[in-house]
Amino acid sequence: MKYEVIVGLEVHVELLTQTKLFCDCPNAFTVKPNQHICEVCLGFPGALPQLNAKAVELALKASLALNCQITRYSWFDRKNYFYPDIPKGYQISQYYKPLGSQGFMEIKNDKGESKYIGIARIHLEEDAGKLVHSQSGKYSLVDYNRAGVPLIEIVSEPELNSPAEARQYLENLKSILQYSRVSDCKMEEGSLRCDANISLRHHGSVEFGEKVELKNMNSFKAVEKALTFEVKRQSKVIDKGEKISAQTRRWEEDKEKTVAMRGKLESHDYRCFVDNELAPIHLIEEDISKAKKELPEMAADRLKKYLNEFCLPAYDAEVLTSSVDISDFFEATLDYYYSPKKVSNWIMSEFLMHLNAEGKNPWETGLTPGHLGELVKLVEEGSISGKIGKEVLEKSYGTGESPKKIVEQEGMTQISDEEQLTKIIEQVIKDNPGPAEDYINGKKKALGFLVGEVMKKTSGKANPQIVNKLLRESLE
Amino acid sequence: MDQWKMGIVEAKEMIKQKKIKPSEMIKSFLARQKETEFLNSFISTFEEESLEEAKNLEKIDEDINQYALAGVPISLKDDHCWKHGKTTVGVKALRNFYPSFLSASAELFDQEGAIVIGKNNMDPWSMNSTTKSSFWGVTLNPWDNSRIAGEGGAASVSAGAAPLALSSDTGGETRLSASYCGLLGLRPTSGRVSRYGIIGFSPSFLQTGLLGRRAEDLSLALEIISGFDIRDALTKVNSTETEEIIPPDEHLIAAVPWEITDQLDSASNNLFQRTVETFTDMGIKVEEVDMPHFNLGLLAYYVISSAEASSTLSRYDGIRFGEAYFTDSLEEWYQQTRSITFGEEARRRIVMGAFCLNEHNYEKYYEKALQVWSLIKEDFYSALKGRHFLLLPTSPTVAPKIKDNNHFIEDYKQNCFCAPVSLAGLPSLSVPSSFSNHLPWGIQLVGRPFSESFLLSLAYKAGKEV
Repeated sequence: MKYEVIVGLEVHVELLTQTKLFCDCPNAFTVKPNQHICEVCLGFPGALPQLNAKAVELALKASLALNCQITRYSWFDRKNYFYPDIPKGYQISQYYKPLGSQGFMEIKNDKGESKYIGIARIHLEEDAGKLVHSQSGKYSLVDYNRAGVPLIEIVSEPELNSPAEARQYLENLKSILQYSRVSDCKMEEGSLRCDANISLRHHGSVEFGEKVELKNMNSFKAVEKALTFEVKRQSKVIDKGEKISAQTRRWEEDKEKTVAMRGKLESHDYRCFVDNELAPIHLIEEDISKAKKELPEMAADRLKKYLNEFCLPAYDAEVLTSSVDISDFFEATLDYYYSPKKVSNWIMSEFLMHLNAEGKNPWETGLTPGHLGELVKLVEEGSISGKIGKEVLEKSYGTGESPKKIVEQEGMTQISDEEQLTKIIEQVIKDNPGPAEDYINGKKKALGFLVGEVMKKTSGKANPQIVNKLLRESLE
Repeated sequence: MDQWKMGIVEAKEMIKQKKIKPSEMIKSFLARQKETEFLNSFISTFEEESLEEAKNLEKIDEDINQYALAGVPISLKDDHCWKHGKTTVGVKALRNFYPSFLSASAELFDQEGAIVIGKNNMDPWSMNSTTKSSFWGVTLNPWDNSRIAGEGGAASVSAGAAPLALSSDTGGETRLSASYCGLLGLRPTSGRVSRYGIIGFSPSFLQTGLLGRRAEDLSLALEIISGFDIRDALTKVNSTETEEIIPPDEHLIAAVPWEITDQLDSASNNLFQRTVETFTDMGIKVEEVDMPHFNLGLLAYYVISSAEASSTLSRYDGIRFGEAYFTDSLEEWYQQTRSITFGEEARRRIVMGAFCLNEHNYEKYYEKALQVWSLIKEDFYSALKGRHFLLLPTSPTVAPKIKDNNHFIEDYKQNCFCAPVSLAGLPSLSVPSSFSNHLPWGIQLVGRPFSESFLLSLAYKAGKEV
């Protein structure tokens, strides 16, 4: 690369709270406009905001998870601007004292080496409503369902040096926030939004180049593509000896290119000042240590543990840690039956297949970690066959019944008793003289047919290894 | 019935002792309301609604005594959201605003059986204490109809059209009106009374206010409206009276910052000195205190409250609230709507406020004002250290002539003794002190946080002395 690429990201995520930031309206997605509204989130004259403590807790968790300094005494400011989607004519945000600052996140650079990206600030703020423009362009409608939904804005330092690094930063950020249960980070539903700032400069240069702001990227892939496009576009401009103009550009997904939105970067004076309708946020040591305690082990650490301690293949470790729910489920199952690879196999094949088919979360089905542990144990101890195991899993998944009970109730226990099996085998050989003759004459394949017949007679409960052994013995 | 001098305590007793039925009580005040209509002290009146409420109370008869103020009429400043009528806040933009929820303090009165008989005139968003800029015209002072009354509520109580008015006080509206009309006016400690449902412009300084004739009326009223409200983040969980033991009069110490009285005209200066002497006669020791930042308070108040006005009033853009004056472009729509419906004073405050918050001026004005704010708090707290209360004038003059003070700065200056107390967040009671040319004039008793009962008992005693 001829030029050094400098990227900084501004990410907004919606917090996983039950209610909005300053009122009791549900923080939930709905299609019908203006359902989740009240006097507070509509900014009615005389109504006052009431801070949602849960939102502060989540913002604090996010700040801690991203290694930020925590501002013990912070407050909310009013950011003033006119637009119909903000009901009060100002947005309540934290301008002067962000809750978190000077954090960092580890990523791997293009050479696979560790690299730390600075987090400049994390602050709490309320979301705006949505404008719906009419087809004719004659009018616009406003939907305030989203107005007042709690957000945190996470601003990185301009320390990302390639589109790939930017994408990795976003992937890691998403994983950390999902693990901390701060946000579901669904970019397609708008619970994670990302704007990017990008500039180029000659290697070794100290000064930054002119900054271009990129908007309207709807996936991490789109962020990477838009940045890649910009690197090429800006390189060409500089190659020609021309200057990059500071501007805001819009990513057009279908055309795979960025187009200029506004001539200049917006330079609003938001006239921010403290909002004294709200009390300041005063965090004490206890709040911080409690939040710290509640933070789980993050994906990166779990991945290392799965590889080194559990000796799982890389693929298993990656799939299991891709979601905090699956990872938690996996680890909880190990408490019941400690055999990482076996448990992993059952999750990766059977369980995930059912979950993906139904779009369910692992904690939403009848199968608990205790059940799964029990099931794996039954199979490993030879009480049931793998094949029966799959049936049991499906039943437990649907009914919530314990595998042991299912096996008992339905008489699915595997028959391993040689005496019992020998009797059945003798009968099968008697009934099928042809195939038995074939096997003795060297047609080894005929054994499979006979095993199948034994399985049929035992409704699949015969232990296949023992049946194989006994059949061979009695025919040879 | 001599309702002219009647307060809520007396009205309540008469109803309790069945000397008068609630509906008769209401009727007599409604009649007085009609007689004094020329004062223009009400924006809305609720004749039918209040009579119906009174009759409903009569139906439950004996059970009426479970309410503290059953059948007692009160009037409400038009910035308190209410179930009857419109809530206009004195401004054209809200002349047809019917709120969907109630003012917390008015609702507490309602729950105690009090009956709201009307809503009082005010300056747009409480920006002044003259009603000269009200969309509904000026209110006349019952003592001298060529003079302002301050707020409509003060004129109503003073004229006997209501025994008590629930008001609000940002930079001094309740206290100044009390001074102009010869009433008691209380601004409680910040955080004592919920402000939910009061439409204001400056959240840093907005408080509820009470206007009445007698200390015992304000005591009872304050008891009803005090307390924590989850909907107002700044109300205190423990907002009850301080446990501090107040010594007898001869051991009381009052603080007087004599230096600030140079802002009084000579007539008022004499009145103030005489009032201080009255307190000395009661056996109270008076000590001079130094409050070096007091006079900066007015400036800090106007910078901070105007900054807040520039933001708080943004919501009246004609989309959800306020009247819309459509044009093709959104920007012009905002401009036109706000120019037509805000009135001159509000527009001036917005421009001043936006100027002070501008990124080039923020440090020079807004941040400076914040510094003054904390210095003033220190001034007050050190003045009250080892002393029980502070004596201050309420207004620099008696009620100004309606035609006077045409420059807005003169109106601002009327707040010079009240605004600093708003910054301090301390309780302040304006008490009628004396007369100048047959016009009332008041002084402020400023106390430590949550010492309203003490201030009211002091006023009660001083009232007997004067």
